[in-house]
Amino acid sequence: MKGHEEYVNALTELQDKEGNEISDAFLSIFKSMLKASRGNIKKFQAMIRLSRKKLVRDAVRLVKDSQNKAKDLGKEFGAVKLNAVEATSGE
Amino acid sequence: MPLRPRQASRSIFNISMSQIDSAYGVLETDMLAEIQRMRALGIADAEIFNRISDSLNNSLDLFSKFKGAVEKELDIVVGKTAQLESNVALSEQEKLRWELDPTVEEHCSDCLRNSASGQKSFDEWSLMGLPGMGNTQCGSYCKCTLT
Repeated sequence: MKGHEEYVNALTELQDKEGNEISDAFLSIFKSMLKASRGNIKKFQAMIRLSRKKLVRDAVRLVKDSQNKAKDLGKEFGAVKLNAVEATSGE
Repeated sequence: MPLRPRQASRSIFNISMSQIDSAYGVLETDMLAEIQRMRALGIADAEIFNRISDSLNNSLDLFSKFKGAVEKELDIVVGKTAQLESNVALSEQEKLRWELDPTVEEHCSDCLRNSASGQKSFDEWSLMGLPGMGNTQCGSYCKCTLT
C-alpha cells in the first residue's frame, strides 16, 4: 500500500530520536551530579539514589510528549489508509 | 470485546514509565555492586570515582545498559502508540487484511501466517492481536498494518 513504507521509515526515525533524547537527558543530569559531587563517589551515589523519584517524574512529561508525536504519526497514516479504502470502494 | 484506544494508550504509557523506573533501580544496584567489587579489589575511592566518571562520560558499562533500557522503552511506547492509532482508524471497515512491513525482507512466521489468512473484521484482528501490540514473534517491533 502506498504510504506504508514512508510511515514505517518515519516511525523508526521517531523511535530513534525520542529514545536518544530522553536517555541523553538522563545521562546529562548524571554528568551534572558527577561534577557537583567533586570526586566523592559516596556523594555521587547518594545523589543518584535521592534523585530517582524526581528524575522519573520529570521523564513522564518527556515520554508523554513522545507518545503524542507517535499518536499524530499513527493518526496521519490511519487517515491515508482510510482515504485509500474509501477511494477503492467508491470506484 | 472492542478495543478502547485511549485506555490501551494509557496502559502502554504506564508500563513504559514503570520499566524506566525499574531501569533506574537497576542502575543504582549495578553501581553499588561495581563500587563494592572495586573496593574488594583494593581500589581507592578516588580511582573508583575516575572509573565511574569514565563510564558515564563515554556512556559505557552500567550507563550504556541504562541508556539502552530507556531507548528500548521509547521504542515500545512510540511504536505501539503509532501502530494502535493507525489501525484503530479503520475499525469501522467491514473487512481488513494484514499487510506486511514493506521495509524488511524477512518476516516472522506469525506475520506471514496473518498476511496469508485473508480478510477479517477489526474485532477479529483485535482478538488475534493487532500489528505491533506484541502478539507476534516480532512483538512490539512489528510494523505491519491493516488495510
